[in-house]
Amino acid sequence: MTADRYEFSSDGFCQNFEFVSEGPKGNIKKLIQFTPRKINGVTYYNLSFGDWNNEKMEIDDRVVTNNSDSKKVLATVAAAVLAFTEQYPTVCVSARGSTAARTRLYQMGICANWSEIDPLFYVYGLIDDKWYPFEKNVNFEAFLIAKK
Amino acid sequence: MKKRIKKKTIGNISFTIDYNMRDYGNDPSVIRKADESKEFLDKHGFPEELMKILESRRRR
Repeated sequence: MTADRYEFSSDGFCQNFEFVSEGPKGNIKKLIQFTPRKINGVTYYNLSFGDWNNEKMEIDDRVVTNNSDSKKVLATVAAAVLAFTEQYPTVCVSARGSTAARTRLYQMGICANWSEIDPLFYVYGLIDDKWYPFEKNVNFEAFLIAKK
Repeated sequence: MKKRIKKKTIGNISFTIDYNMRDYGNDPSVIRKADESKEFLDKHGFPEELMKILESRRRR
């Protein structure tokens, strides 16, 4: 992934990732977490992404930060997905924003990096209760990603 | 004694492994989203093609 992105760090298991967004709103700690769940004997990991709220001491996945760096943030999230799937190459990642606008942001991130994502990953999007191979210019409701 | 931090590189991506990083797996929003995703996938299922790939990996 060659897009401009933030430096990030991970825990020893590559399931928790942190980075700091820098912009007009200041320095904001962003967190990415991959959480396992099981369906029909298949383990998949759900992608969570949000801002660290220092007052509540928890992740806020609904806040709109507006730090004028959304492309850089999305490229960083994409890099974290790559790092995670490198560590866990056989699993699938589920990604769905906590709001439709955030799901659309994920879609924009996939589109922006598609030329690099497509050779490496299977990507499916859900629309009208059906899964389709990812394509640009379609407003999907959720995504599933697995390494090729 | 385990290293606190080290550098890791995957392709052209470099990042830091911090063994002291907090585990956010128990954060309320993380748990909520993971449970919501399970509910969502219970309802919609996985794509058939992807399911075959995941099951074949499970059998290895």
